[in-house]
Amino acid sequence: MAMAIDEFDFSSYSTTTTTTTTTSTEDEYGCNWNIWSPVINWDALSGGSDDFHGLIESMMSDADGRIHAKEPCKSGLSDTTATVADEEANGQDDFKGLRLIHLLMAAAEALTQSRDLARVILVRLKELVSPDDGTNMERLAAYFSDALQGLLECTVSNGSHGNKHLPSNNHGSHQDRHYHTDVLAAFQLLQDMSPYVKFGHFTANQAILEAVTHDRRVHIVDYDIMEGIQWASLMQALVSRKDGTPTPHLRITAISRVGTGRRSIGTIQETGRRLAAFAASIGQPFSFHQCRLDSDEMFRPHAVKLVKGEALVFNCMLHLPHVGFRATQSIASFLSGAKTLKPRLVTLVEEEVGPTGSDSLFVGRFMDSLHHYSALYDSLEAGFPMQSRARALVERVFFGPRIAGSLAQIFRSNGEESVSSWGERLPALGFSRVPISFANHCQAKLLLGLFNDGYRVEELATNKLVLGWKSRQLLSASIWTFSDSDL
Amino acid sequence: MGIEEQEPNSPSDHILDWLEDSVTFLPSFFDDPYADEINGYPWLDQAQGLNQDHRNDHLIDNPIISTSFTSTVSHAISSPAPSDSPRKRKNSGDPLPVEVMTVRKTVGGKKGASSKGTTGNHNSNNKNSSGNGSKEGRWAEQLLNPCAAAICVGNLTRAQHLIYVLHELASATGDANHRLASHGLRALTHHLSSAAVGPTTTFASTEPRFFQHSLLRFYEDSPWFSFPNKIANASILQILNDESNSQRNNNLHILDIGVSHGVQWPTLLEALTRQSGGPPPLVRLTIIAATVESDDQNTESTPFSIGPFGDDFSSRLLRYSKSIYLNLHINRIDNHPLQSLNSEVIKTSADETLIVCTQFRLHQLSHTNPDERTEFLKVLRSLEPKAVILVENNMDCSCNNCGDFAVGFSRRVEYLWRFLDSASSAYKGRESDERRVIEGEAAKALTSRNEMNEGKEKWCERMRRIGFVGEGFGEEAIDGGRALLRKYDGNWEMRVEEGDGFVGLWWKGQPVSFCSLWKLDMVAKAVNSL
Repeated sequence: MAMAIDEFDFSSYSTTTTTTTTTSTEDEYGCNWNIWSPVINWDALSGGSDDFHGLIESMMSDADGRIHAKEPCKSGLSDTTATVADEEANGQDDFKGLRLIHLLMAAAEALTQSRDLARVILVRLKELVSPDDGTNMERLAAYFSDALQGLLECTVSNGSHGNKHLPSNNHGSHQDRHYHTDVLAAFQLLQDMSPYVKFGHFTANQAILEAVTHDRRVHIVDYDIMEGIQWASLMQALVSRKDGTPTPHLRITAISRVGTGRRSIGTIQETGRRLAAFAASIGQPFSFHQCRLDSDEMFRPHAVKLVKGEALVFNCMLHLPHVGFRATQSIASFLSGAKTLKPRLVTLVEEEVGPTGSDSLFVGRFMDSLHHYSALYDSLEAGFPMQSRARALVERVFFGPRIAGSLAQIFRSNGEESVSSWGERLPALGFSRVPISFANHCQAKLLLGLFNDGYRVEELATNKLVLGWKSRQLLSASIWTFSDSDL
Repeated sequence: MGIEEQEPNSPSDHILDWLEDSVTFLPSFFDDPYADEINGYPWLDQAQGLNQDHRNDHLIDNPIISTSFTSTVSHAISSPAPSDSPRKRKNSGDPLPVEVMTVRKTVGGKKGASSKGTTGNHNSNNKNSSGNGSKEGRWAEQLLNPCAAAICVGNLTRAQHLIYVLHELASATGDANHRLASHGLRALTHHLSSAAVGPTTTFASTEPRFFQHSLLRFYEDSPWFSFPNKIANASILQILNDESNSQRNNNLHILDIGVSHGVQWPTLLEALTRQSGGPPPLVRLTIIAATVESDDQNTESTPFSIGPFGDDFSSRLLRYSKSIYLNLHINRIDNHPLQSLNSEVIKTSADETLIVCTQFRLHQLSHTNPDERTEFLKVLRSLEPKAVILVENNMDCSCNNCGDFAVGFSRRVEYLWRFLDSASSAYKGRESDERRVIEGEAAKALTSRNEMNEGKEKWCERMRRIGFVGEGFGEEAIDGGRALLRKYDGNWEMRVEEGDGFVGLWWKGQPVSFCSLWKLDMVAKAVNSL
C-alpha cells in the first residue's frame, strides 16, 4: 500500500490491506479505493451481506468522529463457502453497500444543516437503489432515503422540524381493501419468518398467566390490539390450564384511535368479533370493549370501565408490526394512566434502541436505526434466503412505513429528548419489576429454536428478556407491576 | 490549413493564425446597436471554413476576431463615422477586423452610465441575484471543506467518509457544484497520496490549435481574462496618448508577465496603428514565459500560465504586426524564473517607454520567508517603468504561512467555485472539450504549490512600500471595460473604487480580480535610494 499517507497513524487499525475479495476499482480519478482498506476491515465483509450490520456498527462510532480501534467483526460468518466469483460479486455488493451507508449518513447529517446538500445526496441515492430489488442493503437504503426525502420535504413546507406534521407513510391507502389484504399477508409472513411477533406476545402472555393464576376475572387493556392474535393464544392457554382452576372470565378493552393510522375503528370491531367467536369456540368466557381515544390520542384512565375484583393488566406492544412510533405523548399517557389504575401487571414490548451515549443528535440515532433495520433484514434473509418477494412484501408493508415513522419521530425530537426506552422510564413512574420466570425464559428459547440460530435471547434485567439477532438487540419484553408499598 | 503554407505577406495569414478552428464559433455579441452595419457585409459561411477565396471580402465577418478583439480600440478611434472606415479599409486591402472594431464603437452610444459605481447588471442570464455572496446552492464546499479540515486534524475516518460521499456526487459533467466536487476530490486525493491521481486535462496536455481555440473561446464567453486585458490595453494607449511630444517617438517596450499566451496583444497593436501620429517606431514585447517548476506540471503550476509545447504565438504576433505595418520585436524569455529576473535579462534601454503588464502571475511568488514578491517588485521598480499594470486575483492567501491546509484549501475551493460558477454561465451549461480544458486549468488552483493570493489591499500596500504610486484608470478604460462587461452575464459586475480609481471584477457580489495602475513615486525616488 502506498505509504505516502505517512502522516497518519495507522497503528490503531487492523491493517488488512487490499484483499482479493474486493474488486479494486480504478475510477476516473485514477484513485485506487483500496488505499482506504486500513480503515475498513474487508475481511469482515467476505462472509456476505448478512454481516452488514457489523459494518454499520463500526460506522456508527465513526460517525462520532472518533478514531476508533476497529475490532474485527465478531458476527458469525456465513457458512457457505463461496466460489471466487461469488466472492467477487459479494465484494461488489459490499462495496456498494458501503457507499450507500456513507451516503445515507451524509444525507442524515445534511438534513439538519444544508438542504441543498441533502437534496443532492438523496437524488444520488435514488439513482442507486430501489425498494424492490437488489441486496438487503440496497432495499433498506431505498426505504431510508424515502424516509429522509419525506423529512426533507417536511422541513421545506413547515420551515422547521415539522413538529406537527408526521410525514404520510401510508399513501392514503389504509382504507384500501387491497392494502388490507397485503397487511394480513405480510403479517402472516412476518410471524412465519421470524420470532418477532411471537416473542413479544408469548413472553407477555406467560407473565400474565403466571400473574392471574387464582383470579376469576381478568381484564386486559390493550394499547394496540391489531388483529388480536396475542389474545387468541392467551385464551388457548387459559382454557387448557392443567392445574384444574376454572377458566377465568377474560375481558379485553381495546384502545382505538380516531381515523389516523392504519387501524380504523371498524377493524377493531372486526377484531372483537373474531376474538369473541374464537373464545366461544374454545369455551373461553369473553367480553370485548373499545376505548376510543380523542383526537389528541391521550389516554384517560376514567374512560376504562373497571369491575371490582378483576385482575387488571395493561398490555403495551410497541414493536413490529405494531405502530410503535406513535406520538410519545400518547404512550406516555397510557403508561401514566396505568399508574392511576394500579394494574396487577404491565407488559411492555418495545424495540431496543442502541446505546448512542451522549449523542442524541439526529445522525447518531439515524445510524442506530439503520443498524437496527439492517439486522432485521439480515435476520429475515438468513432464515429465508430464497423468499425475496415475501420479504419484500413485509418490508413494504411494515418496515418501510415504520422506518419513515420512526425517523420522523427522531427528527422531531432532535436533541429535545434524551434517548431512552419506555422501560427505562417506568421505575420513575413508580413501577417495579416483576421477574421473568424460568418457564418464560425457556419458552422464549424454545421459540427461537424454531428459527435461524442467529437469534438469541438474553435476560438483561430481572424483568426483561431481550431478543437479538447476532450482536444487535432488537426487542425487549419487560414485565412490571405497580407497587402499593408507598400507599 | 497550415500556417507554413502561407506566404509571409499573404493577408490571410494573420487572420487565419488567430482563427484556426474558429469556424465553429457562434458569435455571441450581436446585441450590438451597430450590428446592422455588419449585416450589410456578406458573411463568411462558417461551415465552409477558412476559405481563401473569400478572404478579402469576408474577413470582417470573422466572428473570432470581432468578438475577441472588441477591446480597447473604440476609444482610440476618434470621429470617423462607422460607415466610412469599412469602405476605406476595404479599399486599402487592410484586414477587416479593424472595421468590425470600428463598427463596434459602442462606447459613444452607451456612455450614459455614470463613471463610478457598479455596472453590468443588466443582461441576459440574470439567474441568481448578484451581490448575493451567500452559500446557498453551494453544496460541494460543504463536503470539501470539512474533509480538508478532517485531514488536517488527522481524523481519517471522517475524511474517508466525506471522500466516499464526494466520490458519489462528483461529476465532471454536471453543474458547477458537481464539477467542484470532482476537482476538489481529485485535489484532496492528490494531497493524501500524489501517486493516486491520474492525468488531468490542462493546457500543457493539449494540442496547440485546440488550446488556442479553447482560450479564444473562453475570452469570448467570459470576461475573466478579457476584461482585465481590455482595461490594461486601454491604459497603455492612454499612457501613450498622454505622453509629451518629445516622448512620442519613443519606442514602446511592453513587459508581458501574464497568462494570455499572446491573445492580449493584437488588439493593442492594431490600436497603436490608429493613434494620431501613428504607432511608435518600434514596439518591443518582452514575454516572460512561465517556468515549469516541478515534475508534475499538470497540477502544480500556476493556473493558465503554462501553454502546450509548440504553441508559438510569437511568430503569429510577428506576422500579424507585419500585416498591419507595425514594427514589432518580440523577446521571449523562457526558463527564467521570476525570482531571478533583472534588468539585464529584460534588456531595457534608456529612451523607450517601458510599461509592465503583469496579470495573474505574481501571486506565485512567496510573500513571507523569503519575501520573493517584494524583491521582484523592487526589480520592477529598478527598471523605472513608465507604468505598471498589476492584475491579480482578489482573494486571500492559501499558502502554508497564512493558514493550515484546511484554511488554504477552503480559499482555493472558493476561488474555483467562482470560476466554475461563472464558467457554467459562460458555456451556457453545455459540456465541451474546450470547457474541460479551461476548467482543468483553473482547477490547478487547488493543487498548485504557489497560490499565494493577497487581497487587493495588501498588493496595493506592497506596491506603495516599494515606491510606486497608484493612479486611477482613465475614463476611456473604465468606459471600455463597462461596455465590454455588458456583453456578458448579468452577474458580472465592475466596481471602480472611490479611493484609488482601481477597477475590480466581481461575480455575484464576490470579488474575482482587480486591475491596478502604478507609476513611479517620484517623491519617494528623490528621497530614497534603492
